[in-house]
Formats: sequence, structure tokens, C-alpha cells
Amino acid sequence: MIFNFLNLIFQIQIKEGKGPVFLVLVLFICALVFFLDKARKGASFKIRKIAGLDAVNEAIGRATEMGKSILYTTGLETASHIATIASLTILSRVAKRAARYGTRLQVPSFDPIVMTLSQEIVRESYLEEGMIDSFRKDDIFYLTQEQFAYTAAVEGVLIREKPATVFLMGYFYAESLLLAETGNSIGAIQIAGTDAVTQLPFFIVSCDYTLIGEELYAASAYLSEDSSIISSLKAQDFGKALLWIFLFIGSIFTFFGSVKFLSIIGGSS
Amino acid sequence: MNIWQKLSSIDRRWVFLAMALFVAFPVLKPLGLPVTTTKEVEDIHSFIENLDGTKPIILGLDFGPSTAPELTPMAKALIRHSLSKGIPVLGVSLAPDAPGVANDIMKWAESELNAVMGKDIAYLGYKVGTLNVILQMGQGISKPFPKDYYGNNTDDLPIMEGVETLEDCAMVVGLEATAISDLWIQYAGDQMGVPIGIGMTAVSAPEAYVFYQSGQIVGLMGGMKGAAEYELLVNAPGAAVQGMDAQSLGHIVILVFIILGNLGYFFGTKGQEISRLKSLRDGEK
Amino acid sequence: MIFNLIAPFNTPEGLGIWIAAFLTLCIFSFLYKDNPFYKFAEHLFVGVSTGYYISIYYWNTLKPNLIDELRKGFSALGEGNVQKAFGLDENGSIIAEPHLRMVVPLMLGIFIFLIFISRKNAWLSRISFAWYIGVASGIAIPASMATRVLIQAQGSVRDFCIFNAGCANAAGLDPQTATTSLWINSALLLIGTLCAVAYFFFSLPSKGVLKAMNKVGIYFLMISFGASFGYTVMARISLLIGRFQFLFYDWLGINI
Repeated sequence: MIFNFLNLIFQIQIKEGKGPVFLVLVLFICALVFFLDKARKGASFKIRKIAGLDAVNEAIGRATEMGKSILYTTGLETASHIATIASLTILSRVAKRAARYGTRLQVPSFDPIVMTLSQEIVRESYLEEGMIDSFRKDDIFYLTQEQFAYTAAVEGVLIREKPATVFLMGYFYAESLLLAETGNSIGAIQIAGTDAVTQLPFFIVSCDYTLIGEELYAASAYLSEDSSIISSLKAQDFGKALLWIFLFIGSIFTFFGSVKFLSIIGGSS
Repeated sequence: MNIWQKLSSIDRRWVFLAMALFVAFPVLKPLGLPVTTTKEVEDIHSFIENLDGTKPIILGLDFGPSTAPELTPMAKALIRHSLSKGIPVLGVSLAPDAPGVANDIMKWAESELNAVMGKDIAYLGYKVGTLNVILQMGQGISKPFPKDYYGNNTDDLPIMEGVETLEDCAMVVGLEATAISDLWIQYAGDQMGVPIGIGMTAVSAPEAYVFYQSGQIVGLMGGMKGAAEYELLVNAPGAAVQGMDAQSLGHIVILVFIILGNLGYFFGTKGQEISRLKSLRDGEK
Repeated sequence: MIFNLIAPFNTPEGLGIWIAAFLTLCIFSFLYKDNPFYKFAEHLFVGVSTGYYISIYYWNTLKPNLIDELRKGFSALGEGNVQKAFGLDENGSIIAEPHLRMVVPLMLGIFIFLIFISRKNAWLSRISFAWYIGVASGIAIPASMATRVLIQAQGSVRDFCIFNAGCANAAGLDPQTATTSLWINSALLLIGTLCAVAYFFFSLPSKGVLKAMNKVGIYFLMISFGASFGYTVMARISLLIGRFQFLFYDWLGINI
């Protein structure tokens, strides 16, 4: 019955020209369910070490030794954006360490909902470390949703508070270099991570460590130590492997004159 | 501190001053440096050139004052080109800070190009929702925009005659400062089959090249340079062409400082450290 | 003489230009060092932008989509027309104007606010987030998959078709465009794509062939970042040019 239902959906998708998209999505969802199921049954997944993650602990330690604060920004996107979600996972880890060492953590937010989530996450982290009395709700604050107004305000915080460590994790737009340069000018150690391809060059040249694109998601999965999150990373790798094989075989086929491959893979939505 | 170390630690305020001087001078006194056009911009121009004028162009004015220097010249050049071909232009905005700038552009078109509002050009204003707005426009342009920016009923505008949905339009040209271009391409372009042209700030233009390479957009204008190219193609040099001299000198300043900084880095502290380690290793051998 | 060229004080446009010029110079003063003028402009910008966005969201979203719809719904209810009040026509079919059906999204919005108001009932916000993320994902994922993956994959291999006349004709491509430079570009594009995808493969350790591909991939990535950097430098200079054009032409009225 399930097979008949899926077959019916597939026929509809093909009729509307969406067959390839449907097929790829089904394959990916199957991989996701497979890896999630394995994770729930206790399998542990290994992912390779991501360069720059050791620097997170080092950076927090530096702020503690210097008696200065940490500034963490989750980017300029909403809570539904994947980079923001990854950033919040890393924030949880950073907040735990900051609570343990008694280092002040400031989180200026662009989005009010992200601010709320950040407050909850930091509060939980402090609670888990038994340092709830040190939690300062006012240190996680909303600024504005105007891009350059937010940038100007964060730059002001950087110049006035002079944190020793700055984390720039999330999705950024044109303000990325402004923030990174200001952090650089106050001598802070900066760790950035973004999937905004156009902003990566600026983080690479002005920050001490940069998580490039998907490394941000992988880092959040790695730091969370949650096998169900890592299982989704495995599913992504499965998708990437499929894509790699299609590109490799497809280019060979196409070079030798086959048009079929182009029409299979290039189905519209 | 030797010369190389000084070069790698130049006070940034000298860089700012140099940039200010070399950019301000050509703005005051243009040098007349040549500007060439590129295929990406020519492709948008020739696509519009080949339109028959029976359907309007949707112009996505999705930028605010902070990116206006790059995108306003594009908008003006596009409107000028379209109106010279008798193609009506229907402006919409999906960015909240766009209406002020968009209205200025429309008023410019009325006064400078003698465009008739509602017939040759129209501006439907801003609607929150980006993706929802595009999807609704696919069902009916007047659905998200029942009235235009000036309070007139959208369906009563002469420009809307024979035009109901996005698919009834000749093309969509999105002038974007953010990722709204992705939505135009994904939904209006790939799903609804409407030809898409994109004009973007130079920051985001590299991301759009993949869509140009794959044929998902008919052409691409990147930054003030793209605007200058389009102004030249329509034989109406304006603010963008004027800015190209300053652009060129500004780039030369940046190149000089990059070279000086790298020379200072490699021959300065870092370079000395490398050669010290090297001589230690050679000594051990 | 110079004062004749400066924007006039006594018109709204001229006053606006003076204020804009003053604030521009306040922000530029930060380039030297932080100072009260910059702080004033920064705080003003934050305040005005927040107020502007509140106004935009109220007049463009809340009022037309919620307040006006509820008002019309209650008005219809007051007239005794229950069907119209809930956005239904005489036959019971749903019409475009939702009227009192907006109570459902209103409740979802209130659930989100419960995070701030009531910790005990904050769990209700999960319903709102689940709805929002579910709908957004359902709309976005298939479209993204098509636009950003499948059509891009097609684009990566399509150019190889041009080198075979039969394939080119079948795919509607022009075999005359098959030049050496196109061949090199296509090969580089494919190698770069394959190696960059391999770079982001986290399931296997970076050894052997994968390590070599990672190295090639990172070089391609860095070259593309360099190009992107150049473009962004161009963008920044363009904005500076725009400001100078405003200061010299609109404010000071200088035009040599």
C-alpha cells in the first residue's frame, strides 16, 4: 500500500516535471532516516576533526586570563536559518565554558526571536555548570534589525568593551568585514564561521580561524556530541557522494555524446 | 623597526586618507578613463532589445539608500532602455527600506523621460513577505498589491491591461542588495518560467555567476561597473560612468597597499623569523 | 561664491541634505577615532531604523493583514453574517479575505510571545515554530534542490555536450562555440566542483586521494574567495564614491 502510494506520488511528480527533484529528495530522506535510526540504536559516528575547533577553547581561555569579556554574534539571519541554528549550538558550548571560567559573555542580537533563544541557551548552559547566579540576562540583548545600524552598534560595543575574544558565527552580509576589522583593531582573537560564501574572504583575511561554509554545520554537530545531529551530517555526506558520482559519470557520458544524462539530472522543479 | 616592519604596520588612518584623496579627486575632476562592456551585461541588454513591447517588464527595486549608489544607476538605465523600446516597466519592492528610493526613481522617470505614471511606468510599493509575495504574484500581481504606491487600484492601471500574473510579463529584472535574487530565480524563474535578469551589488554578484553560467538568468550586472556598462550600452552615461574613474584609482590604491603590506610581512618580522629558523636548520645540518 | 553653491537651508530638501551631510561626516569621523559625534550618529541610526521598521511592519503587515481583517470580521458578525465573518461566500467556499480566520495566525503569534510572558506556557511556542519551519521548509526545499543542486549539476556538465555535434544539436547548443578555451574552462569547472565537494566530505579521514583532492579543492576555494574579495572591495569603493558624489554635488554643489 505504501509502495502504491509512493508510486502514485512519483507519477504525479513526473507529470508535473518534478520527477528528478522528488527522487533525489526521497533518496536523501531515506538516507537521513537510516542514519537517524542507527544513531538511536546506539551507533556512534565519527567525523573528521575540524580545524579551528581547538581554537574555541583556547580563545575562551585567553579571555579568562586577560580578565576581559567574550563577544558572540549569531549573525544577521532569523532563527529558521540553518547557520543561525548551527551558531546557537556552538553558543551553548561557548556559554558553558564561559560559565565554568567565570568569563563575561555578551551576545548582541539582530533578531528578537534569536535573542530569546540565545538567552534560553545561555541560561541553560549556566544552569548546567551550576553558575546560574552569574548569568546576566542583560548581556544578551537585542539591538536593531537594520543591517548597518546593527553593525554600528556592535562596533560601538567592541570599541568600548574591548573583548578579548570575538565569535562571529552565523550568516552575515556586507557588514562582515566591518565587524571583523573592528575586532582586529582592538586586538581580539576572532573565530568566524559562516555559510555566506561572499563574506568568507573577509573572515579569512581578518580572523584568526574561519569555519568555511559547511564546516560551521559540522562544527556544531561535532561540538554538540549528539549522535542524532551527527547522523544528519552523515546523510548530507551521502548526498554529496551521490552528487559527486553523478557529476563524474555524467561528464564522461556527456563528453561521449549522451544527452540522456542532461535531461535526467536537469529536471526542473 | 626597519622599513619592512613599518610597511606591515602602517597606521590604517593613512590608508583611509589615501583612499579618500584618490577617490575624491576623480569625483571632482573626471579623468575620462575608458570603460568596456562585458558579455553578462550585454546579454541583458540584448534580451530587452529583442522584446516586442507587448508585455511589461517587472523591475524588482529591492534595495535601500545604503546600496543606492550601485543600484540606482542600473534602475535608471534599465527604465530608460525599456521606455525607449516602448516596453512598460512595473516596479515592485520586496525590501522594507526600498520604497523611498524606488519612488525617487519613478519620479525621475516621470520628469526626465516624460514617462506617464500608470501607463509607461508604475510602482506597486513594498509588501512584506518576499517569498509569499512572489508566489502570490504568480497567481495574480494585484493579489499582494491591490493598490499601487500612490493609492490607485492596481487592476485599473492601463499598464495592467492583459497582465494578470508574473507569467504575463516579458521578464523580471531584480535589482538586489540581498538574497532576494535567489527567490526570483527559484520561483519566478525556474518554477514559473519567467526570464530573469539580475542586477546586484558587487558584494553579492559573485554568487549570481553560477546562475548565469547555468543559464538560469539571462544576464547579470554587478555593482557600479555593471551599471556603468549598461549606461554605455544605452548611450546615456550617468552617475555610474562618472564614478568609474574614482573606482579605478581606488582599486590602484588598494593594490599598492596590498603589495606594500605583503612585502612588509614577508621581509619584515615574519620573513626574518622564517630566515632565522632556516639558518638554524641549516646550522644543524 | 562658494556659499551660493551649497544646498539651501530654507527648503525641506535642502535641510534634509544638510542633515544627511552632517551625519555622513559624523560617521566618517570614526575613521580617525571614536568620538561623541560618531556615537550620536550611531545611536540616532539605531533608534530611527528601529522606529522605521516598527512603522513599516505595523502599516504593511499588522494593520492590513490582521487588524483590518478582524475588524471586518467582527463587523460582519455584528450584522449577523457569520459566513462572511469567517471569510466564506454564500456557498461556504473560502474567499480571499480571511476576516476572522486570522484568529488562527493571531493565536500562533501570541504563542511565540508566551516565551516572554509565561515560562509555564512557553511550550506552546513550539507549535508556532513547528508550523513556521514546516511550511517554510516545504516551500523552500524542493525549489532549492532544483535551483541550487540539480540545475547547477546540469550546468557543470552541459558544456561537455558542445564538443559532440550530435549531443550539441540534441541539447539545442551551438557546436560552433566549441573552442579550446571553452574546453579548458569546462575541465577546470568540473575539477574545481569535484574537489570542492570532496573538501566538505566529513565522513572519511583526509588521507590519500581524498587528501590530494582536498588540497586542490581548497586552492580553488581560495581563488574564488580572492575574486569575491576583489568584487567586495569594488562595492565598498562604489559606496564611498556615492557618498562623495552626494557631498560634492548635492551638498556643496561643486561640479568642475
